[in-house]
Amino acid sequence: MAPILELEGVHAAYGRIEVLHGVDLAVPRGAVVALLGPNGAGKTTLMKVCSGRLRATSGHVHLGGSHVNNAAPDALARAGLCTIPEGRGIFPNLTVAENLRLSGLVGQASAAEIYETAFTRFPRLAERYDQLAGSMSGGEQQMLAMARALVTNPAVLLVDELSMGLAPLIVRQLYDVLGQIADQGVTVVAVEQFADMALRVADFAAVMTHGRIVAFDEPDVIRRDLAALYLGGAAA
Amino acid sequence: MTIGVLATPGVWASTAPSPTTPAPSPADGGAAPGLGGWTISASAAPITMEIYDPKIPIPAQPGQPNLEFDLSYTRASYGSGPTGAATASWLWPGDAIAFGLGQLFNSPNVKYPILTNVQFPGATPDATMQPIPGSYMQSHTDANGSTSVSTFGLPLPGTGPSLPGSAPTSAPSAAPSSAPPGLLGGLLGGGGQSPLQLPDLGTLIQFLTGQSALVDIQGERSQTSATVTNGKAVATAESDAGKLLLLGGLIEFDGLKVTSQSTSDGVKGTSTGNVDYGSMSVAGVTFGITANGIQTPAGLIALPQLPDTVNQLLAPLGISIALPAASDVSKDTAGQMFSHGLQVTIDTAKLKAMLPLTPVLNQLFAQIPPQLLAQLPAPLSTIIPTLPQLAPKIVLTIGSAKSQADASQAIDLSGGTTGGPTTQPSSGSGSGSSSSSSGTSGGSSTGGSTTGGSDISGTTGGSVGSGSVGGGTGGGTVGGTTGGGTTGGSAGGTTGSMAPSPPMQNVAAKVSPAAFGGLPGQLMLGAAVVACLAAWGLKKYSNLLFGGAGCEAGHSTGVPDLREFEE
Repeated sequence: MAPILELEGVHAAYGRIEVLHGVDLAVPRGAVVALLGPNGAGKTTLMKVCSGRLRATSGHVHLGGSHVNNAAPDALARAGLCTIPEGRGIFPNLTVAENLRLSGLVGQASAAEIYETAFTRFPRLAERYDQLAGSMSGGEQQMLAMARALVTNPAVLLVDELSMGLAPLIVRQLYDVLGQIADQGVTVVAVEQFADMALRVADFAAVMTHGRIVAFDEPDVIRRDLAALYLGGAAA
Repeated sequence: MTIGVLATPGVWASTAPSPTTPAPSPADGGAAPGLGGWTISASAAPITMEIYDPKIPIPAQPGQPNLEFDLSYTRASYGSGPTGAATASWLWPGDAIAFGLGQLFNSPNVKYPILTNVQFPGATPDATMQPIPGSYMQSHTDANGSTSVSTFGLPLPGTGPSLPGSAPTSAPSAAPSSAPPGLLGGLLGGGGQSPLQLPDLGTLIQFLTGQSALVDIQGERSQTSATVTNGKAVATAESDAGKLLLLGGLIEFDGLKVTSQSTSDGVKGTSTGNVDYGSMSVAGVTFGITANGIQTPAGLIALPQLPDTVNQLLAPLGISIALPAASDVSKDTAGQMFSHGLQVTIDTAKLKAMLPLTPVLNQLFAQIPPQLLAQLPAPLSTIIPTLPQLAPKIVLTIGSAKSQADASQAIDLSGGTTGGPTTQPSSGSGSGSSSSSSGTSGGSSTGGSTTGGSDISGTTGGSVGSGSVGGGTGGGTVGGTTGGGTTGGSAGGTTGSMAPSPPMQNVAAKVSPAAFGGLPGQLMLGAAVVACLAAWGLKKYSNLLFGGAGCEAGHSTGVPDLREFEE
C-alpha cells in the first residue's frame, strides 16, 4: 500500500529545544497505526507536525503524495485530515448538537446529515442532544469528540490519547468504534500511552522514544518486545 | 453650623445665569462648530476634610486619607459622543464609599444615600435631593452638557443673598469675648493694624479649651458645569464657603470663594482661577485682606503670605496653616486649573497631648446632623462616632475648584477643493423667542449652502432681544478653498437690533490634510492597496518564499484532497 502519510527525517522543536530528532514513518492508506511510547517521547509533537500545528524544522511531511511541510492546519482539515486532540477539544459550554454543527462547518453536510452520522455511530449522544457537553461524563465527551471528527468525513484521523482519564471498559468500546471507522477506509493514527487497547485494533504499531521511531512492525511483534523497547533495549 | 430654608429648585432653574455662573443647560444646544471632540470635567468642594489614621478600618494607599468627606461636593463631566455625568453630594465620602459601599460591606443592597447622580445616556436627565432642610443637591446632564449644584445654608446660585431662611440663624461663635482684642493683630500685615505682642502657648490653650468647636462652618455651596459654548469647551467650578470659624473662632473667614475655569477651542487651552476672601480675622481682629486672587496665564498676582510666626506659634499644637494656591497646568489644547483656598492641617495626636481635645473633636463630628447620620448605612454611621477617640491627622481644605477642558478641531472631509455652488445663498429664516426673558433661545439659520464649506448658524438671541445673524460660509468659488462667507441667517429676539456676526473661517483646508481628494489621501489609499497586495502575495507564495520550495523527494507541494487519494 502506498502511504497516505509519510514522514522523512522530520525534526521539530519548541524554540531551541528539539523534540523530534529525525522521525521516519509511513502510514498506509486505510490502516490503523498505533503510535506508542512513554511520556515525553514526542508522540503528541509528532501529531502536531502531521496536522500542521507545528512546523517541522527540517525533513519532509508528505500527505496524499504531496509535500505539505508548510500547509496551514485549516487547509489540512479541509483536505480530510482530522485531529482529535488530547483532552478532547470539545466546547464544554455548548450543547452536543451545537458542537456537532460547528464541526459540520468544515464540510458541506446539512444538520440532518451531521446528526445522522454522529447518532448512528454513537446513539448515546442522541439522548444528550440538548445537554451541555461539559456536563457529560468523560466517556461521553470522548464519544462527542469522535463524532465531531466523523462528521467532517475524514480520510486521515489522528487520535491523541483516546484513553486519557477513562475507565478501561469505556476505552475498549471507543477503540472498537475506532476499528469500525477504520474498516470504512479511514486511515487512523492513534497515539496511545497504554499499549494493550491500541494494539488490539491496530494493523501496525510504532514505538517512539526520545524523539525517534525505534520500532515499526505488526502489533504482535511490538507487543512481544514492548517492554524492552520502552526501556531502551533492542527488539528481539 | 447654620441651617436655612431654601427656595424651591425652580427659582434657580428659571433664573438667568450670571456670566460666571454655570448655566443649567447650554444655550447653544450642544452645537460645537469647529470642535470635533472634547473632554470636559469640573469638580468643586467648599470644604474637604481628609482624615489620616491607620486605625480606621478602611484601606488606603500610603499618603492617601483613610476617610475623606467633602461638604457640598459637585462634579460634572461632558464628552463628545455625547456622554455626560453630574454628581452632587452634600456629604461626599469619596468614590470608594459613594459608589462602592455595597462592595465595601459585602452587601449589594447598601447604597450611599446622600447623593444625586445622573448620567447621559441614562434613564433621567435630572436628579434632586433635599435630605434635610437647608440642604439641596441637583444634578443635570443631557446631550448639551452637565451641571451640578449643592448647597447648605446658602442660597442657590442666582437667587441672591436675600433668600428667605438662608441667612445664618444663630450667632456665630466667632469673636471670643475671652480673647484679648487684637490678639494676633498685624500678623498678616493687613488692615493697618499695629503689630501687637504675640500670645504665649498657655494663652492659646486656654483660648481653645474655652471654645466648643474646632471647625464651624456656616453655609457652603459649590457648583460645576461642563458645556460647549460658542465653539469652545468650557469647564467651570466654583466653591463658596459662607462663613468659617476655625479653632473656636480663633481664625475666622467670611466669604471664601474659589473659582476655576478652563476652556479649549481645539487649538489652545486656557485657564483662570481665583481665590477671593471677603474678610479674615484672627482672634477678633479683622484684617483688610484685599487679595485679588490668582489670574493665569495673564500673570500671577501674589497673595499676602502668612507670616512664619503664625505657624511657629501654632506648631506645638500640631496645627499648621497654608494659604491659597492655584496651579495652571494647561498645555497645548488642554486647559487645566486647580485652585484651593486655605489649608489647615491638624495633628490631633499632638493636640490631644496638649489639652483635652476629645470633647472638641466630639463637637466637630457632632456637626454632622443626626438626620443625615441616621440615613447612612449602619457600618458607616457606626464608624463616625468613634473617630474622636482616635488621634488622626486632619487636613481641612477650605475651598477647592478644579476644571479641565480639552478639545480637538473638527475635520471636514467634505473637502473644499471641489468648491461649492456659485449661487448666492438665500437669506436664512429663523425665529427668536419673544417670550423668553432670559434670552436663551435664539434663531436658527440655514443661510448658505452646505456644500464646499462648513456652515455656521447664528444661534443666540440676546436677553434684550439683540439677535445675531448667522454667517453662512458655504458659498464658495469653484475649486476654491476659502469659502464664500456670505451671510444668511436670522435674527433672534424681537425688539433688538441685528448685528452681523463675522463669518467663520473655513477650516477644512487647514485641518484635513488627509482629505481623500488630495495628494495625501491618494498616498494613503495607495499605501493601503500595496499593503493588501503584499499580504495576499505573502499568503499565496509563502511556501515558495519561506521554505516551501520543491520537495527533494520529488513530491509536488500543496494540499491534496485526501478523500480522493488513490494508491
